[in-house]
Amino acid sequence: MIRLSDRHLLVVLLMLLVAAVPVAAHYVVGIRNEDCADPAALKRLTINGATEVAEWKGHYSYAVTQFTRGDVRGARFVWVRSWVPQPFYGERPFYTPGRHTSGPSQLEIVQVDGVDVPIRVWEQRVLSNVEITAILRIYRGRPVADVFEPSLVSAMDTLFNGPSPVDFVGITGAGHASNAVEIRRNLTKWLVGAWTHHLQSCQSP
Amino acid sequence: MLLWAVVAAYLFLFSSVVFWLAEQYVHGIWWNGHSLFVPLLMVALADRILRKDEKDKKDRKARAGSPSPAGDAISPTADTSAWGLLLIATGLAMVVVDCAIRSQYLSLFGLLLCLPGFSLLLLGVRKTRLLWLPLVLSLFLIPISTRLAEDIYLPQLISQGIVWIADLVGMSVIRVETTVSIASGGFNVSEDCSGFGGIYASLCVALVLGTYTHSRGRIALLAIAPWLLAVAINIPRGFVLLLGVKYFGMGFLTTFWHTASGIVAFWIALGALLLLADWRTLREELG
Repeated sequence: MIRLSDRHLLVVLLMLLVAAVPVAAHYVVGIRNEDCADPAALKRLTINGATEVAEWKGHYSYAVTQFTRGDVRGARFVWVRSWVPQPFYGERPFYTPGRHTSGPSQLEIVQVDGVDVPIRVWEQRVLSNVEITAILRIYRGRPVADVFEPSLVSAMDTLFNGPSPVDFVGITGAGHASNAVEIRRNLTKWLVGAWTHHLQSCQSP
Repeated sequence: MLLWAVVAAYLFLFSSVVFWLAEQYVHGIWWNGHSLFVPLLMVALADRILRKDEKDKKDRKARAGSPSPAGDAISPTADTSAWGLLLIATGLAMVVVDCAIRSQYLSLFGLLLCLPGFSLLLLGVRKTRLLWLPLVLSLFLIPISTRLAEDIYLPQLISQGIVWIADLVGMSVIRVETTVSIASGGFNVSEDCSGFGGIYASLCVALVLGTYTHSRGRIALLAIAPWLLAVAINIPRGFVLLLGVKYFGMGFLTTFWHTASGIVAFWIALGALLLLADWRTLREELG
């Protein structure tokens, strides 16, 4: 029988109980900082003729509050709304609808009414075909290139007021390589539309 | 009673990261599936090491026929170190901060930092030193991103290797970056498919086997083997998948055989590592 010391156990228990207060507030009570006036409106995706919009419970359902996917003129898209920012950290988040997002990507900044909208794009050519995936992330009411840095900056606020949701929008289109520029332009345009839709849905009435 | 209260509070604090880890581990064999076995390996090793220590202590006492030597007389209570409190406090601070960041990694590092902390407080300094291997193995609980494969150009190497084999057998193949194509189709050698998960798992096994090896040459071989095996096994594996695409079409990649080939690749690597092991020392040290 291995003997264990109980010398510091009381101190350790007190430390654990103190740490348990914020952990319980975040994980059990689930304090949240909703920054969108009408989150339900985000699901009503009618941007540039999106069709077959359906809610979907995916593998990451524990982290996701809204998961919508559908088609827009042959391109597949997903819109994920999550209170857990971790899956959206880094250059390539988990939720991309395309298969070819392992290679290098490009960051395209689109100006919309004075706001920089960073859109990350992957372009993969296979023989004469091309598959293009473009993603947009929105955190704390503005488009961001990566969620990690803004979540670090707002860590103290989040600790006391709860997390803000991350909106992730990704779209993938494919076609003949000669149409790559047009496909990319359409996907980017759709994502800009998604940002405008987000802005309209979330602005205070 | 107090000990159980500490265990319960500890489990509560880290339950979120444990659920997250479970999700990471069962997500797919290409990622961190092997990490499911790491806690078992840690517990089994710690159990063996502590039992052997107790047995050695008894043997020494029996041989001396007198009160035990000074080192053995140290009780866990006398041997505990307050550094354990510092490690636990730091680990808990990480969990609290991670409530805000939700990286889960920060919580995980906190969880791992608490392990040597608890060992120092509950078992004492001497036994914590004995338990260095299970504690180091806990690092393999960290889910790694297969994106690291890209940093060491593994998908590029594997895809180029597939082309080399195809050239040898006179098969016409086109490689664009990491995508290998033939007339009937092709596939991208992704980071997941390049065998990086297998390297991570093999390094964990190699660390245990290398610890219980006396020969320096064998240790060097065990250190380098996971990297070489990943390349040596996954290139022919990729070529077999390409043959599957050639004869059965693109649908072959969505069959069970695609996954099975990954599992077989790891089992071959594991078998090769076990062949390199110093079994005599392993038996002596771990019984």
